[in-house]
Amino acid sequence: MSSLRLRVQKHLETSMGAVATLRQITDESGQPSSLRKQLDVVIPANNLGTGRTVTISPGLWVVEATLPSGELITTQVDVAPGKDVPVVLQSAEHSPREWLSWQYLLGNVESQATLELLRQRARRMAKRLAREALGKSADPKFVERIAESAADAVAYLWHMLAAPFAAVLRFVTNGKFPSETAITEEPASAETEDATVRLLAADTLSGSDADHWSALFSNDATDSPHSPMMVAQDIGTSVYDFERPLSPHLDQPIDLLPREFVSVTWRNERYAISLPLPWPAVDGETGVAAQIMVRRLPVEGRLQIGVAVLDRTFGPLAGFMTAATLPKAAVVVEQAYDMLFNKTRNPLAAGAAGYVLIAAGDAAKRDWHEWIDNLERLFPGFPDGAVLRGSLLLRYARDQAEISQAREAFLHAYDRGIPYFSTGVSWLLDGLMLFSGEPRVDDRVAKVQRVARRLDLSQAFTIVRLSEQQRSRKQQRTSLDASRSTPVAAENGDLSAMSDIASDIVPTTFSTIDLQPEATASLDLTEFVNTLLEKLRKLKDERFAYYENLRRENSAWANKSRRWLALLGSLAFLLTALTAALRFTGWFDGWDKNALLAALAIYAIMGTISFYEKGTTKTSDYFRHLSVILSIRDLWTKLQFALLGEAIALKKADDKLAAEPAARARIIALAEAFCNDLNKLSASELADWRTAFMSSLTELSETAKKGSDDVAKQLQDAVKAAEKSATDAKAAAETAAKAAAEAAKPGSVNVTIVGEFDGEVVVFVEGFERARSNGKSVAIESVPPGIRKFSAQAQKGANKLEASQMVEIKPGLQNLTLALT
Amino acid sequence: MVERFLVHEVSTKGATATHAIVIGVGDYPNLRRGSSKQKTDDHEGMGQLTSPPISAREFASWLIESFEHPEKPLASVSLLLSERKPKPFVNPRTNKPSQVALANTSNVLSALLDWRDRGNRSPKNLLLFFFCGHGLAAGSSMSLPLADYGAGDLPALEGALDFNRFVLGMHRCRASEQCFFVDACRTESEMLKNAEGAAGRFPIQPGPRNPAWPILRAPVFYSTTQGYKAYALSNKPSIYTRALLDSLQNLGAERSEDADDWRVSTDRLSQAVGHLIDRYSREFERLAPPTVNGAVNVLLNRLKEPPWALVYVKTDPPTALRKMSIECLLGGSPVQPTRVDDLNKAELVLQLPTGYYEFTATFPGRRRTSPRKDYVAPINCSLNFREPPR
Repeated sequence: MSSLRLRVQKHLETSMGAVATLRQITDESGQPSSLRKQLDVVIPANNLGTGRTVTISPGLWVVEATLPSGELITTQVDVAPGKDVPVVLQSAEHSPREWLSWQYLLGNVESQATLELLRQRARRMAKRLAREALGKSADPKFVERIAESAADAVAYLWHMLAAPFAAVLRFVTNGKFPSETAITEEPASAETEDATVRLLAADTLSGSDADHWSALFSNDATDSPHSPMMVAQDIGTSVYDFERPLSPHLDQPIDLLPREFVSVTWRNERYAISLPLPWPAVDGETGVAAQIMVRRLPVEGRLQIGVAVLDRTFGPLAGFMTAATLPKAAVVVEQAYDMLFNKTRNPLAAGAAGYVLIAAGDAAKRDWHEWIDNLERLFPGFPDGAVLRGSLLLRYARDQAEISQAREAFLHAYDRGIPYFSTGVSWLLDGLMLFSGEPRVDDRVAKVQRVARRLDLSQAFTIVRLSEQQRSRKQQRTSLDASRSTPVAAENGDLSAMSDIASDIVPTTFSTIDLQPEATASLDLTEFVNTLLEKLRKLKDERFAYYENLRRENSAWANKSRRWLALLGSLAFLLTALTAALRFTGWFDGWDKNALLAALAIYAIMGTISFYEKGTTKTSDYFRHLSVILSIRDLWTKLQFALLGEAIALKKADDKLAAEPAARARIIALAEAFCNDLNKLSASELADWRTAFMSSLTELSETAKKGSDDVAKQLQDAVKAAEKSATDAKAAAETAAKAAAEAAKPGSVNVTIVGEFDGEVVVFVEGFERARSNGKSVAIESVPPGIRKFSAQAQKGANKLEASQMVEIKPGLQNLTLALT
Repeated sequence: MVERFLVHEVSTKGATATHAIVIGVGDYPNLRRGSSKQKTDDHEGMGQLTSPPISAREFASWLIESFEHPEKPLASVSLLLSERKPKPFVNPRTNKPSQVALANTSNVLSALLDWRDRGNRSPKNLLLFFFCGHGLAAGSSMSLPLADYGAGDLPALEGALDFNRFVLGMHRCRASEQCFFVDACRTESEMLKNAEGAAGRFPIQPGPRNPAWPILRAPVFYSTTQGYKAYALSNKPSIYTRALLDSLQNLGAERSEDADDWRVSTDRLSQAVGHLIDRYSREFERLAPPTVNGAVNVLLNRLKEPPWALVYVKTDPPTALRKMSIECLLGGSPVQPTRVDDLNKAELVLQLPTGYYEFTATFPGRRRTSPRKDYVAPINCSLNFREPPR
């Protein structure tokens, strides 16, 4: 047999690091395994520590580990016979901070990579907005929106991003906008505003008649003399540890009373957290701390709270309970069965296990059912014990008597107070609702429901939101701002989550309002105003959509062309300087020409870009459309405020009926004025566009004409040059012909013979006899030009005398001397 | 008597069967941008939706075409929709069009009662519930607005389904396996939180289950975490429905321990769906993970053929990925993988049928890695190739 030694690499230590599912794919010979059973084991998480050894048969195995956060890690391992193979599973991502390791393990906080992704997105958004602002006049409202958006993105980036941009804006606008706006100050929503965490006095929420459910919402809770200990704070997150010593009597069940709650407040948010203490460790002799993480989320305008018990053995069970990993929690509980149920020192851990086993619906093992009974009986301060017992009885009821016992158990649970576990609150409500209609039950249902509807179900331990939900600035802005559009998926296809543009909006400026006068006139005032507003909104949306589409089309060009021109210009400038330097120094001979050519090419490209811009007017179009969009926004805002004024005036009128006709008339006038203003915008934009269009046409026409003239002139010059070239060529040809003719004329040669000879001398040219003479001078005429051989032969006594020479014959007379030898 | 909500019915002669009810609500006349002149003040920011009717149709079609349970064949599918432009539902098996009932409160309650009655026929029956539309949440309470939410002078919640009470009421149905899929937002509703009493209407009064009946196994699947929204692209199935169907048909499958086939049960299904949502969340930044109440493992589907799985391919260095080609051999024969949308540029995502493969990567210059053997099975496997030196 072989074995695998499994663990998860983490910077904390727990025996419950993950639930690993092992499946054998092939046997040791590589054949697909006939075994289909899978093994589920709980493996530890630690930093370079030991793993859990699992005996397996050799072959290829797939290991799939589910962490308490829900993360899934998969790997394949080939195990040879007799080998013990270590398998270390690594998370794809990591905790953002080491002191958040437990919270990250349970899935209460995002990974470092996800947080970085959020920061990058915030940076991009803040930069984009600031660029727009720098390109606009310093309208304080617009600048405030930029700052707000930058702060909303990730509030703690205010220090790094928005504040410097605010400083730039101040510089750009010469400090014209007032310093008391949110731009110059850090927004009140910035994450520097800490949450207040208080440990409440023990049993302060019990109430005089043990009505814990109502006391939870009172403001009378007093603080404990012990202050919570903050252990770390960073990135908008604070972590607090709470401890409670155990009773020294190890043989006695621990006493959960007095009950403790933690109060967390931030702005108008108020939460109550049930503190899961005391929590004995497995050995039962020491207690472990409960850790509360408080994270501020300015975007949503709320807090995120995570509760973890720093128990190396059972702490992660809370994560398994809340993720979509409840089946894995059942594996954990099964394998920790003895520790959980054979000791009565930790009712909280046993209670968590009880929830898991009931939820998993495992009817096979029934001995743990006794322990649920024990939990209820031995720990009267533990409401969850009674909830578990009631739920168990309902689930496995054998007769009506057990159903009645279940009802009584739920009523006991109610009397004991608020369950420690959020599942307990939910199950208590469900359990009571099953018996609704009975007088003892119904009023309890209402009180439990009030708490249940404020539960944070993402946490295993009970966290109740006591305050009303604050709408975030983002949500507030959504209802007012008509110009948002966000390129992300919409809520279940909810068009309003993407933008305010409904699916039946067709971008156009040609549409007109469809008043349906007869139907509209017969509506009562409220309906009349709502209907009119809806029609005006549609008209507004159509116009807005039209200009928004146009703006978007030109946005990239408008923003990028200038940047490119600047870059190219800089490069060309550099090359020009380089050319001069190369010429001056003489280095890299010939490269100055290349640099100059490159600079010329860049200038040509810049010229092309500029020409294109002039011809298409994309940038000016962009700003014109942006201006129209903002004008539509302003008109809409103005209309709404005007309508609001009318509504208030009518409300205050002594005789509303009498005032109604005049109000209607004014509202109609406002609507008409709005439509007219919208039309004027379009007409004005059309006029501007036409002007720009004609101007660009003129420019193009002039450029074309100029270009045409230039080209024509160049053509003419080229023709003239060609003509001249032809004439010159003819003269040169004639001269050449004449010269050639002259060069072809034959030459005459006076040959002088040197040396004594008898009789005649014979002169040959090219081997042919040309002349005989008794004298020493011989004239030879009509010798063709070129290199010829001249030779002379004579006799002196019995000796034959000869002479020869190669001569270049040219037209005209030449002399040649041949010496006989 | 033909039941008016059914779009699919197959006689099972009283044998154990599966009965499904599918509800998709996209058109809300009394919410923002709705067709009714009367708009409710309790709109909670909700408007019109496009994807729920599409998601519901997809789910219903999948059930009719592909759902197969080894012991509980599909016997009926009820469908109720609320969509801006209603059109018939064409049964993909019979090609027969059916008029679809409006998903208002009256119809939904009636349809749920009919569905419950079909479940009552046998304690071994499997009931499937699918809802897609708006959702209102407050702690453990959930309300599902229907087409007539906010209509008339009655409180708005009179046009909604109190989901928790509905599920509790189903304790009194004999069918011992009931699966609920809720594809809706779970954003906190102040109105619901402060409302007293029920979070809407419910067809059956909650009550304890008859002790003589088998133990109830009723997991509830939510498309998102409490406090978060659910998302979709306009006029397409929702992200959750897409993930759910991919998981029901492929990624949620496991090799059966007892039979030689591939089966999808709720445990594995929730893991597969969670995995897909986690991947989609890289593209749509606001997605929150889906959750499930209850850990009971209910068998849902048996596949007619082996499933495909996702294969995530990375290279070392990551820049070599785009220049790499990969060869996949299954039993010695080449298999052309399907390439899935690349959400992560440092990773190639392929889709391959389950099997034992031999993979070889080729880099520019004909540099090949040594073949490596890997088993590809749902949900996914990962391959990492190191670029050979030049």
